[in-house]
Amino acid sequence: MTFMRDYQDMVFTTAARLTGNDAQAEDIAQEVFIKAHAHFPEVKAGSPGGWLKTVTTNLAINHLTRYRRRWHMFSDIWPAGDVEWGVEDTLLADVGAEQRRRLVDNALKHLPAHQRIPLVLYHFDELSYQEIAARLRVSLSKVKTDILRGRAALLKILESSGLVREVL
Amino acid sequence: MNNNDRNDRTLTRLLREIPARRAPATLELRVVNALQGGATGAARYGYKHWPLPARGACLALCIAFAVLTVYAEASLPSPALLIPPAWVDGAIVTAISLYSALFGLAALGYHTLYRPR
Repeated sequence: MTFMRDYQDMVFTTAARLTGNDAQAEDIAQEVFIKAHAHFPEVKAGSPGGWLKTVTTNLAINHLTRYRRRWHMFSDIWPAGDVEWGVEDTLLADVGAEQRRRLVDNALKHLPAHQRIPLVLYHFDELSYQEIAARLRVSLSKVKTDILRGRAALLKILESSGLVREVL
Repeated sequence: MNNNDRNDRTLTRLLREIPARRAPATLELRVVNALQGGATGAARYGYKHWPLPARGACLALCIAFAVLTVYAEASLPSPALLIPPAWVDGAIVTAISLYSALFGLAALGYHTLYRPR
C-alpha cells in the first residue's frame, strides 16, 4: 500500500484532468492499480511512475473513446469563437499554488471533451501534436485546432474569474 | 511572437507547475476491496463472463418465468373469453414487433454514439 500512496495522487490527477469527472477518474485509478498489482514485478522493475502514467492515460482515453463519435459531432458544430486571446507571462503568478491548481482544474472541467483531452495531453503529458493525433486517431489539423480553441476557452474561463486579463 | 505562441508558452509553464490533486480517501479502500475479490467479482461484468452455474440458473429462472407467464395468461377466467383469440395473437405480435423495433433503435443509437471503433 505504500506503493499506492506514493502514486495515487498522480494517477487520480491524470485521470481527472483527462475525463473532467472525479467519479470516472476514481474508477479509472482503481483499474490502474489493479493492473499494477497484476504486473507488479514488471512495474516495480521499470519506472513505476511512467508505467502508471501511461496506463492511466490509455485507460482514460479508452474510456473517453466510447464517446468519440459524440464529441466529434460536437467538435464539428462547436463555434470557432474568438481565439485571438493573449495572456501575460505572469499569468496567475500572484496566486498561490493550491488556488492556481483549483482554478485550472475547475476551468478544465468546463471545457468540452474534444478540447480538454488534447489540451491536457499536450500541456500536462507533454505529448506532441503528432502523438496526440495518433493516440486519438484524429487528424493533425484537428488536434491543432482543438488545442488552439481549448486554450482560448480556458483563458476565457480564467479571465471570467478575474485572474487573467485580456491583453489585446 | 504571436498570441498563439505566447499562449502556448505561458500555459505550458503554468500548467506544468501545477501540483497534483489529492486522490479521494476512498480510493485505497476501493482498490483493496477490488483486489480481495469484491469489485472484480462476476457481478461486475456482463452475462457472458458469469460462471457457468450462474448463467444456467439465470437462464432457467428466465424460462420458468416466461412459462409461468404464459400459463397464467392461459388460465385467465371469463374476461379472456370475451377477447377473440385472433386479437390476443395480434396483440402479442404487435408487442413483439414494437419491442424489436425499440431494441433495434437502441442498438443503432448505441452503435452510432458510443461503440468504440
